[in-house]
Amino acid sequence: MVGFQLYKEHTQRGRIPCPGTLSVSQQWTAAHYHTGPGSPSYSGAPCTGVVCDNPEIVTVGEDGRINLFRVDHKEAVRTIDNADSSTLHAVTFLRTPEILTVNSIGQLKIWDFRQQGNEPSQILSLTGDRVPLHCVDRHPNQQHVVATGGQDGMLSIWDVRQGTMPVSLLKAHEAEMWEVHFHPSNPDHLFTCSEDGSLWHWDASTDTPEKSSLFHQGRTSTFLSHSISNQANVHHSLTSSWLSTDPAKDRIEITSLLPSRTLSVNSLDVLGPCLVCGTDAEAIYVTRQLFS
Amino acid sequence: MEELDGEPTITLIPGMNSKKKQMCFDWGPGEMLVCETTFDKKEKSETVPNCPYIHIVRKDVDVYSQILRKLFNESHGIFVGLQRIEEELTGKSRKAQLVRVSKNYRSVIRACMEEMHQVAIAAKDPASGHRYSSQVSILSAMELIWNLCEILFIEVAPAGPLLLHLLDWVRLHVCEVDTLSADVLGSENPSKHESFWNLVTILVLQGRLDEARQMLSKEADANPPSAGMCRILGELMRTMPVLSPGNTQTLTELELKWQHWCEECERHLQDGTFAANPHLECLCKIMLGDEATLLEQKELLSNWYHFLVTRLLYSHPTVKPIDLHFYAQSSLDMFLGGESSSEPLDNILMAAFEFDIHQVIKECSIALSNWWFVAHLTDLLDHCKLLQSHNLYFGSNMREFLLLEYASGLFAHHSLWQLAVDYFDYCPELGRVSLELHIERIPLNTEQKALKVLRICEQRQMTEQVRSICKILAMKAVRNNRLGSALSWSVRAKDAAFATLVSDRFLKDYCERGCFSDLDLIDNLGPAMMLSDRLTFLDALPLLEQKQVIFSAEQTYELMRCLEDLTSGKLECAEFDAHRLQDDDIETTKVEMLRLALARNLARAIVREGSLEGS
Repeated sequence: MVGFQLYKEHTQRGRIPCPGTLSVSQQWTAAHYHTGPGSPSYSGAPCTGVVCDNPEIVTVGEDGRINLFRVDHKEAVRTIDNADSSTLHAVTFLRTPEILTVNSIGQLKIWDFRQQGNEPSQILSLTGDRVPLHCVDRHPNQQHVVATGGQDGMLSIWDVRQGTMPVSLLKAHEAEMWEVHFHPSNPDHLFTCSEDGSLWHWDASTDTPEKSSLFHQGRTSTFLSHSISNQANVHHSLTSSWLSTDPAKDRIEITSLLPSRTLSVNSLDVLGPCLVCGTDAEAIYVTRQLFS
Repeated sequence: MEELDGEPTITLIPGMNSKKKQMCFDWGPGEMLVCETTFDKKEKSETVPNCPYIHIVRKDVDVYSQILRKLFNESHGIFVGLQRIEEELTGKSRKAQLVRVSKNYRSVIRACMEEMHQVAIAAKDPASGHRYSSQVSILSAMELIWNLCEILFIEVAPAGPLLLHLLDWVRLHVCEVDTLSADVLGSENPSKHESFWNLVTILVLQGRLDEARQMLSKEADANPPSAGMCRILGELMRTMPVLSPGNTQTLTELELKWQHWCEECERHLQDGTFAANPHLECLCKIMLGDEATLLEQKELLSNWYHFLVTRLLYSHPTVKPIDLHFYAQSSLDMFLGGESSSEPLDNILMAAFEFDIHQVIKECSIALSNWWFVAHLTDLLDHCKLLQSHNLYFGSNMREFLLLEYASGLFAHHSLWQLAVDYFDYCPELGRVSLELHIERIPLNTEQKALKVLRICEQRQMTEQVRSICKILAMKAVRNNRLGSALSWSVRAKDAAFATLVSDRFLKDYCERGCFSDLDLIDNLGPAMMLSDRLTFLDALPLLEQKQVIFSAEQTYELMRCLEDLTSGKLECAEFDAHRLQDDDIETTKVEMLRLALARNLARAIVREGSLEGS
């Protein structure tokens, strides 16, 4: 659960903390609220997403507000009030100074901090049901490629330069997908976790047939081809296996990483050969041999 | 009304003088509200209460313990796993699987015990240290009882292996031996250590004869005059007939060999082989099961069940399960010797030796402060098909009753309630209705928590609860001016009426401000707009409000004319009807909206056409 306070830790984003101690270095209270701190009927709002790119930190919340903080500033550097009329669930950096948010009516919005005003520079969404989107992550190397996860457990891959529709829609989990992460150094690998109690490793690398096996017995793998939307003319110099439109050639191997069904897996992070995730059974799973 | 099993505990409410004032109370799902009343029978009622607070009284405080949390979480996983493999449990492997489940539960208890012990040692103030230590002893007692139940009810060990299991049981729970052993062996001269003979004695009492022999050889080395006696005693220890697992000899063979061995020991005793060394003579008497000698070792034995097992080892090694309770009762009586009375733990163990499962569970329910133990143990025993349907007067069987009590206690916790859901799922009679009652009362402080609750409800087709929760969230969103969220919740609940309410708010905003506040939402309603005709209307209205003028002045005039035609036509054939009146009201609003939008569009079109030359 995320409250409406922000704590900064000494470790930087993505790094697994070394065994030592953490202490609060900076605190921003009342970053998210429905009625402001000045009013007698002050009511705070949960902060739902935080992302940082040293020294900047961006937060979003149930109040539809976007805050930009810097680590050395006591006050927010920029605040976009009522950026969204629904709840903002997650945020990620695109090319700085752009960020991308997802909300509970199924929209992706790109915001440019260079522009004044409170309007997004671009809005993307799926046609059809406005399924809430819960998580988003950007490809580490290709800053136009973004993955989102929705309330129906669907994984979508987007190219934000091309139109307003996703490139791929992949049926995945049976319930809300809480987090999606590209592997920071092996971006052909993607990880998702869900309310249905599973954590999946998506391997889109197109190398040798004998793929590296994962660490648990009892894994299930299925091969899934991309489904493509009507993006007929996709020109890009850098090919990405996630955006590839050739279903016969590119298949994704999906493996379930947790040995047995658990309660919801709420969060995960991955770095190098290490992966860590947490569940509603108040357990944390760690592996240090992701690709062995 | 049944009789009380024990005296109810009294809880004092701080700040209230129960002698002077009356208290009133009300039950909640997991707790009780108590406050002072101004009602006084004797004197006229006073208006000022002494105690201005409302107190919440909770019975189950264990649920908030940091360390016991792990017990609840881990055992939940074991419980759910057990329910799921129930169908697959068949034949010979069934017993082995159930034993494995039992050992899993026990290892979780031990892990908690270990952690609690560490915390107790590290505690800064003596009061909390004492609290943790007593918690450790409670956990230890729980594991002791569970272990015995595993041996007697789940493993169902027959005569022969039964004794071996009981020996393991005792060795596991009287663990001072290890520290003592480390002390003595770690010293420079073990056989000269002051506790040396205590160590050897307790090793013999626990049937650890190999280790005892090793100790004797150290004594033999250090003290040559006694070497001969040590060697003989060691030889007796080595040759004691025991049933080892996998041994194919029958019980009768074992019994025969054991008799012979006893006679040999007796002979040595008569001959006075060990007369020169009282320690060795004592050990020989112990090995012959001499009760008087055994009772002299009370301090080393430390409890009556250790005494029982040692007695059995050296007098009745082939004891049958049904005969256990005779020896148990006599051991208890002999050990206590009429000085002290039995404690609750003793009664529970005795009930187990008597194979009275219901009594075990009943006594545990009374003695323990939390339903965890009895709920899980009963469930496991039920899977062993050991519980006849023990119908309580309100109709649910014992297993279900205990699981319901336990799960209800969990629901009071802000995070552990999720575990409780699975327990309710496996209570066939009252589980669902209990879940329905509890789940609506969970405080929903964040949307993520609400989503989890909704997911649980949807998976169980609890549509009423889904609608009710979504309505609450939608209302909250409207109050906080989060109209997009409100719409999202009403779509999830498939609540057309509420969707209409939300769109009314939009329209109200439009009227007041003259523009739409959240155009991004309306632009992208998608199929949700089909939910309510108000939303459909909303969807069309922005056409007139786009920055880019869509309809020219000419076209706008045309639209206005059409509108007038429609409205005048309706007025003519309007009937005086209450239902129609309400519809008319809605229609009037819509018409006003349209008129306003058309007028504004006309204004913009005129300005544009007037200022630009054909572009």
